Amino acid sequence: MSASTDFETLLGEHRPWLLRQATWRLGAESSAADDVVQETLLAAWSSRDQLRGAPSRGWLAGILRHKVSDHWRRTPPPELEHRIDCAPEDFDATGHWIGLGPEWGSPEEILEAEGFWKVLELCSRILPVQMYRAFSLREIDDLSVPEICQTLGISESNCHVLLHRARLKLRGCVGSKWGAPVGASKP
Amino acid sequence: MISHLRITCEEATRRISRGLDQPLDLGERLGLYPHLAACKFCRQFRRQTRILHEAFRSLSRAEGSEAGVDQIP
Repeated sequence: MSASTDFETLLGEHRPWLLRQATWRLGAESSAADDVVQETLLAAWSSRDQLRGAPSRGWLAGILRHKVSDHWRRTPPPELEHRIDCAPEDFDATGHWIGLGPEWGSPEEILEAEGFWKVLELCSRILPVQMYRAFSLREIDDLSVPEICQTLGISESNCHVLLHRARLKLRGCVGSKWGAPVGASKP
Repeated sequence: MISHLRITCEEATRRISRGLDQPLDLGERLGLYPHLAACKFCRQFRRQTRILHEAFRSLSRAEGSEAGVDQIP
């Protein structure tokens, strides 16, 4: 087997993992995950000479993040989304909570629960495109607000609004599918 | 003075969210802390957004730890 065939095999082994990573970053746009991963693998293949040793997940993830940003530049968020800037549905007219949400359990327990991750993934896909783009850059990739603004071409105040709404919406969605009703006794 | 600091739950959640992204300034904290002490709704929001934060952050942490393993020949 030639060195380049070896490299191709190694890249192929990372493909399922890259697809998962792309899917999480793309939310409602996850149908683009295949293309983004394909572009990532092609770019990895073209830069194989710059890499000493086998391709690592860290290295590939760096390329993937660039390819996700490329996809976003090519695909502006839907126009209609600009209208979502109405008051969040969680509060009444005076700005107070309408009700207490269900409790989720301890962080240690739920982050180990497969069902929680399924719910989280489902909920990540109901968020508006631009909102989830900002959220995934912040929470998955740990970018600062100024970096997110630069990547998405939005203002800082808009970014804070998107992140706030994303957290409200995700929390509401997860609570409706996962949490125990208030007052239910814990096992 | 105290009523001057009083904020709505919506404003409290805005500050809780901001606080996950950058340090809050003194004015923001002064209004938020007494609100949190008195409001279980907002305490729950803070607990759960921290869980979301942990969950999403762990997705890219997995990438770092396993990268090391992959580099072993």
